[in-house]
Amino acid sequence: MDGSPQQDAGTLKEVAIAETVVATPTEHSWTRVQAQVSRAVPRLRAIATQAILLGPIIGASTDFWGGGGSGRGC
Amino acid sequence: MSVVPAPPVIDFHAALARWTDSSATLAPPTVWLTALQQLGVTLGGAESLVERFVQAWSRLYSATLLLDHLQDDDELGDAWLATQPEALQYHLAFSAYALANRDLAELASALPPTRGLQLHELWSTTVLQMAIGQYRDLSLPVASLGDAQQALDAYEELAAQKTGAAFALALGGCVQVATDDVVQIDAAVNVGLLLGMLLQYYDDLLDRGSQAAQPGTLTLARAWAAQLATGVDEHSIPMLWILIYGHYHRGLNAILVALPDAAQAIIRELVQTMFGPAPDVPIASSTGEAVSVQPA
Repeated sequence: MDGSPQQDAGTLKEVAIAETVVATPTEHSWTRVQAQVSRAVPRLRAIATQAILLGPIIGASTDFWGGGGSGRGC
Repeated sequence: MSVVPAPPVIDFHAALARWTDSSATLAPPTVWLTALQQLGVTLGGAESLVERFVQAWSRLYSATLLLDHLQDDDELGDAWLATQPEALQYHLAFSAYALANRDLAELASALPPTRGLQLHELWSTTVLQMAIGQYRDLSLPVASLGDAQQALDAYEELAAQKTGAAFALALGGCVQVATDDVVQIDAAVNVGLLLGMLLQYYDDLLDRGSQAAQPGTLTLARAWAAQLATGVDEHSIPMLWILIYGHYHRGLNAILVALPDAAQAIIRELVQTMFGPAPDVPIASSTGEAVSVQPA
């Protein structure tokens, strides 16, 4: 270590990053959950593209709202 | 000279019970809570402890629903609550959360220490995501989203952070109360996330008639409209939902295999109750070839 301003700034940045990682463990575990789930389903935009392509070919019945329609999503 | 009687003063807990009890408009439907209870008990959780978690989650969900309704200026569905000053309405949402947090602390202290800590971590992780999601929902101008991919990606992320995180906590927490099996807990969290996202899409498409009053809100139909030069044709909405449900149902089934058969059956029944039978429609595979989605 030569104590130069550049090195001090670099050290401070490393400390700040380390503190951020320690301070936000929950962010990291949520990222892991999302990564796992994203492997199970296609992106919404890919599904929307399929709907555009398949809609005119297949059509859809009007009784597709099969559930009770909770109205309780948030 | 007639004297107008002062409105009765309602005790704090009675005031909360009015709109958070199981039959209240802003409470999660009983069928959801019953399924959560069954899930935890099936996996070996003590009935009283699972019940405590379900109660905590139900109060948290009610608090979130009330906050969301107030922020969107929606009908509250309870005459007493609707006539209260806005400041008190917001305070009741916070109070329901405080009560839920107390339920959680009492529950965690009754669990083995490590399990209690992990339950706290799951709770704080998912509640933080719900808060971030709601912040983004309220602060993200639809007009700023640019192209269609950005709009749909942003909407998808909101669905994961809002209702997705709420259900990741619901299912994951029930299993966390019952077991230390990380594979089962992970599966329940992941299934809950997908289930919550599905609910967000479903409610959003069903509610689209009333969304005209909130032109700045990012909805699924608006995000999709950005992808279509001609705007969304009402007849194409069913196809969008059927494909979403088909893909997510397949994803749910793939994740569910990590859970015992009895737990799988409870979750499949819950999905069917919420959204009806899974569609049997052709879905293009990643290679573009049409494949069939099998019904449940």
